[in-house]
Amino acid sequence: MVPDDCTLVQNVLNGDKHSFDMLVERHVTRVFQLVYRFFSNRQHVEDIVQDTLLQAYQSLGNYGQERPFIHWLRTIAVRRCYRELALRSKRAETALPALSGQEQECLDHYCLQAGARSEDPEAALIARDITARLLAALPAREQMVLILRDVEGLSVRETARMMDISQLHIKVVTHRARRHAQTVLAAMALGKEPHTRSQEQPV
Amino acid sequence: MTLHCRQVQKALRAFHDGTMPGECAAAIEAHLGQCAGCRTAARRQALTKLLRAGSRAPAPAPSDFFMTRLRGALQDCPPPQPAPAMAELLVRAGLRLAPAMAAMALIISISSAWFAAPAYNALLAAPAEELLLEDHPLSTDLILAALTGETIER
Repeated sequence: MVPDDCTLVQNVLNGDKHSFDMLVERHVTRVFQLVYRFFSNRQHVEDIVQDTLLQAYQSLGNYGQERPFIHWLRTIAVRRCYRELALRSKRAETALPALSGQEQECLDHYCLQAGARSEDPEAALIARDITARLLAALPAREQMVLILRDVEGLSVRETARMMDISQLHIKVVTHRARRHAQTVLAAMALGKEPHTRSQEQPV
Repeated sequence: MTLHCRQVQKALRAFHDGTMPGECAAAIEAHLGQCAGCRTAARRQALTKLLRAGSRAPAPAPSDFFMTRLRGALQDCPPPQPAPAMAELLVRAGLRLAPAMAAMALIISISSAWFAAPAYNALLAAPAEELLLEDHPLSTDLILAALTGETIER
């Protein structure tokens, strides 16, 4: 019988280091995928995942067991990512490069076709590149909230708990981040296509 | 179907969600193909859709090399400490709150002295007879002793 997470945690606290290896095997992919949402560079993602798991190991005594272990682990990862994003946004001002022709096509596919939902992995990769550049132009807190709310699909309550800020603040930041991101996206698209004033144009 | 920019931009959310009837969606698509202003508005509104599309990109799995490195780092890591007892948490919280409590006590003592000083000065400046006539909370014996310079034995 496979031991559950709580049993493994208790084993680790009783001195069985091998049980933590089992926890790592079980959850590392999900943590990896979560961190990958925030950073594109693989080396960077690996460093953050390693830091997260080491921190989890050392503070395992604080795990309350009132919620699933993976949630606790993801919370540590999210806070670690937030610290890293905050450092990065202080370090560098990100330029906003215009979209390439292929990216413009991809954007048009998603934006100009009704209910478009492509399963094409190549299109998804291009969309990921666009969103990575778009998010890099936002402040750290707005990036975090957009990814957790709109990409991961977390509720306001879950996001607030993960980021350790109030639900009201999450609602305000979400609203601000979406508007900010929409402006940035429009600016990126306009880099390719000169802005023209909207005209009343019957079809 | 004839559509104007204002109508198109109002209907963009339903258009992106895919909840719009086919005929309307086709008309909006046709309009977007011709109107640069509405295309910009459509891109602006399609943010969530784009974010979700990006999230469908295949995420890499942790490599074997990384897993080996991670296991090595865990081996070198000191063992986890058990959760601190409640008494220890209280002591830590008390230590954290000590400066704030000291500052609050200082503020209270300064403010009470500030507010009490005028009343105390008025009391000292008032003639002794007035103090005796009025039913003042201070003991009359104490006031008389202070005025005459006598000491009171208790």
